Amino acid sequence: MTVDHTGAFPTVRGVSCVLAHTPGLLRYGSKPTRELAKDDGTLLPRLRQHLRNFDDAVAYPPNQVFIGNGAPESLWDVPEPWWRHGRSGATARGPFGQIVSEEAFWGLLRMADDFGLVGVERRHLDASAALLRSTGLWSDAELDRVVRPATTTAAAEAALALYAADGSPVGRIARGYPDDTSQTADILLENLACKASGALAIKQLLCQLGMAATDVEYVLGCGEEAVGDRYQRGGGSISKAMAEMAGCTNATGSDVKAFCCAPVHALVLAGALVQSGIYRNVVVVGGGSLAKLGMKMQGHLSKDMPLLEDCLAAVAIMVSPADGTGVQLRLDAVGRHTVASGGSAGAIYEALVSAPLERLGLRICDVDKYAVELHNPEITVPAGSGNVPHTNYRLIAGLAVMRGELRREDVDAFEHTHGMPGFVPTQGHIPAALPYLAHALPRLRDGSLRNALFIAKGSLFLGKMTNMADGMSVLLDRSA
Amino acid sequence: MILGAAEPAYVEMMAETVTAGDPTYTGPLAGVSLGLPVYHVTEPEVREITDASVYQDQIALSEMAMETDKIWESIRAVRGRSSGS
Repeated sequence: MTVDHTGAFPTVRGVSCVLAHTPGLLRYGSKPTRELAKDDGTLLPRLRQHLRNFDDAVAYPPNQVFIGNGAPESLWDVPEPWWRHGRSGATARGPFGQIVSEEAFWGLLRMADDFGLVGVERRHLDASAALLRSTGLWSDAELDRVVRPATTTAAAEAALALYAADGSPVGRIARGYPDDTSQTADILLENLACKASGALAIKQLLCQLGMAATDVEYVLGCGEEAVGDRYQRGGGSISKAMAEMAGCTNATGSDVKAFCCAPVHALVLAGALVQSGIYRNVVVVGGGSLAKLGMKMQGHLSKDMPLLEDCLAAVAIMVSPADGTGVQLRLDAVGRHTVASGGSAGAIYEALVSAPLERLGLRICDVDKYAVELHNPEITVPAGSGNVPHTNYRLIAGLAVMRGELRREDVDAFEHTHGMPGFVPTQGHIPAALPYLAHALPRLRDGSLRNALFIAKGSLFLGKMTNMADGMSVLLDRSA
Repeated sequence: MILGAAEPAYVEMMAETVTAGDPTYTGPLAGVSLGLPVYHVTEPEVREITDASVYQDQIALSEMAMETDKIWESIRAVRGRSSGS
């Protein structure tokens, strides 16, 4: 263990952002599952008619931005609706990651499965192994896990059938312990989908950094899946399971739970673990959320638009000691929403924006970019959920006006100068600020961005344990 | 009934729900016409009867982020239809 005695803040060495386009799994999102259960048989064909093919998902401008083929701000210039203006010549790979097809994802599910739960037809597995091999991320031994026979056979009892987007059968996933309501087939599918996509993000990150998996010492999971059994629902630690799948044999890990706020909590904790010298290389990883596929489907169906929530999204971030790039995670500028903070928008934004900036003697407009909840508005607006980042930027600008740091007439322009359009799939914790970190990092390194504040909020009240929300923020900047 | 949502379309739907009945026919108020008086928390009628310091602490910043013109237009239209029915 090496302790950094220089006092320098830790840095973010790299960020990966990956998507798995899973239209066949969309029916197992929470909302589609509930709607299909009470439907008379007409909904499933309607859903299928509104699914996108892989090429359309790849060409979708926000997805291109997510994997780094273009800046978020480039979306200001894309005519709406974005789904009608797919980028011609788009590729499934970008500087931050890649988009994998559902055919490839079946193999990742198999690779993630240590208990013979996932049964997939051999022809799909062969196709999957070939696709995964072409990514260059997986070793032969790892790819062998895709096609080798399962150690146990997926039990037919209480199994869930898996289908391709066109409705053709692909395989099935078994339940865990009999009579265990925490290990029904649908819950295990959610958890394996999270594990598989999270491990993919870690693999992608290591590949981008040219770093050995064995150099990772700790993995902090920040997803929202409840991994456990009947006696410890949500016991965790999916992070260590992802570390194993990604080959990080020297790592252990644990999960940080704070709803959509967890990623920024995890980033700060990772920074603290590195700063303390306990670990050198800590990965923060958020796997994809199967439950949120098709979440806003009714809004999309009513507008006769494609079901845009057809991708699992995952992000992995490497936090390490200062590396000479000057990019630093300012652990002295962490904003936190405390129990006493209060629930009004004013209280939340003072805690997350003005309080940490004041500690550094900064005003609100001194921050070049604010990364907020970056939900893609094209997904949320048709469902009546509003433009989430737009509202967040109005609130930050409003706070600046109330503090005498911005003129009221400049509120409208604030979003364009200090913000960005939302570009992230509505995958809960994934839109929580951190995908912008991938975009910010090269700009912080080349000096075109001085600093950026990453803000996440979490709806703790949804869990019925408290009426509170939560919030966390942290500044990244470049040392002078 | 006082609403606080920021999205004009959502405000209109909620206002419709507690007056004429759930326009989406998905909830328990489908076809149930409660005819409740409904206002948005930022409307002058509500603001006038709210303690100014409480309004400043709890609502002022949110109001700045809202398109209040559109919200008021939506909710007034619903009230107009409701009182005329």
